[in-house]
Amino acid sequence: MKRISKKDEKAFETLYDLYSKLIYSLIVSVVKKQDEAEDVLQEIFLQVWEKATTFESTKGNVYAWMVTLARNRAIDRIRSKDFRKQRQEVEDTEIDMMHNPTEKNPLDSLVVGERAEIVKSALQQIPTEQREVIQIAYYGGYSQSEIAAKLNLPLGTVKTRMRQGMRKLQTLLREQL
Amino acid sequence: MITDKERFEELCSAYVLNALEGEELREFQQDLIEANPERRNIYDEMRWVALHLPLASEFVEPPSYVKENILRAIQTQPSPRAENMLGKAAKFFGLIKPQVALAVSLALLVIIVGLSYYTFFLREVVRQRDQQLTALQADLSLQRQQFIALQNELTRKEEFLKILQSPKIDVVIMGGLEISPTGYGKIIWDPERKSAILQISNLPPVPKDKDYQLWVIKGQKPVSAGVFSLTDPEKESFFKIDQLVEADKKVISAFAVTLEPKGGVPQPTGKMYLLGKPS
Repeated sequence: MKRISKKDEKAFETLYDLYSKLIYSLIVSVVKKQDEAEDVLQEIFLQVWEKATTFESTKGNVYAWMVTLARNRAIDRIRSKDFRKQRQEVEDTEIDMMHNPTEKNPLDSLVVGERAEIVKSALQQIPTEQREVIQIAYYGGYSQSEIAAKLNLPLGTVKTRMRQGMRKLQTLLREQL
Repeated sequence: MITDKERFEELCSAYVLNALEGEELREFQQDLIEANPERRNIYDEMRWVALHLPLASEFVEPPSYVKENILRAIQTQPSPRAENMLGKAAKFFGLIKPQVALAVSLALLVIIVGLSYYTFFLREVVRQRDQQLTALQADLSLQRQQFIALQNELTRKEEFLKILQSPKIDVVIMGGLEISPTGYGKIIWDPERKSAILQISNLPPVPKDKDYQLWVIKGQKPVSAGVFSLTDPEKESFFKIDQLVEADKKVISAFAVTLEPKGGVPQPTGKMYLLGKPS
């Protein structure tokens, strides 16, 4: 990122080659449309190019920055930007202040494909209703109360399913990663 | 402070999925700042899980032109400083797809052609307005000349009127002679002010190098009383004589008009056209 902040095009191209497939896939999962996903992908990488100087490695890793950026942009596409800001704002240009900068980059330790299979498998192992609320929240940008309304469930049920699902995912992932 | 660990986990799992809102969001954010190591660990773990969720997406390779567009867009950004100003535009052009780019290009072409036509149209309007302005200026100049002529005419008429309003005026009629038998002339003068009006009609046009000259004949001696030209021989012409050389009717034996070299001469040399004697 330091090289990119100094407008090193080669470094930028390397970053693109490393992250574009993952980021694009995440965006497609959110927006569902390929042409819109291409637009968002370009927006994100151009923003990385423009805002690289604002990235602070002490606040988090590039992976976290990129996926946060990608998810926010993709959610903005399917829902209004104001709507997201009313809820839980995550600035594009900075990582969550409470984020642990020493956490491992999921792209670092294992081959991406192998790691992805582990995550997919873990998601499949948790109960469907728990997986459902997690996926609606993450890929749809919905709040817990919206999910409750969408699935016609009590809010408490949604909260419980989300907590249990995330807890189980944590256990399953920690067993293999 | 959230006292219940289970509730903390509940809020935490929603927070890392950006699914918290309202009061609960504010409550959790505040709690996170004051979180003990155990709760910080819960948060870190939840976040770690959330950061893995993108890996569960079905992996799709982006089209190669996306990379080309992005690289092209960053290469066209001139400098970091200029980038701030041009960034949005460059980004816009970098983001658009070939079909959209074509449409934008065509739209720009249409705009350019439209602007060119509009420029041509404006130039034509300006040219026409310029012509109209020139014509109006010429017309104004003509009208100003006419106004000055009318003012002069009015002044002259006022002068004539002053002479005619004088309580004592003298009049001499001049008749045409052999060279101009239909010629006619009249002198009206105010003996006190020595101002006179000369009225002429039916005299032939004056050649360029000639003038008509009025003479006052005292006894046998002609004395010049002024020269004049006829602008329109068809019409009656009036001339004002400010200082008549002789205003005493008893002394004046006749008035005469001759055709003389341009500007007049001390003594008559040309043919006599009009002649009249006081009655």
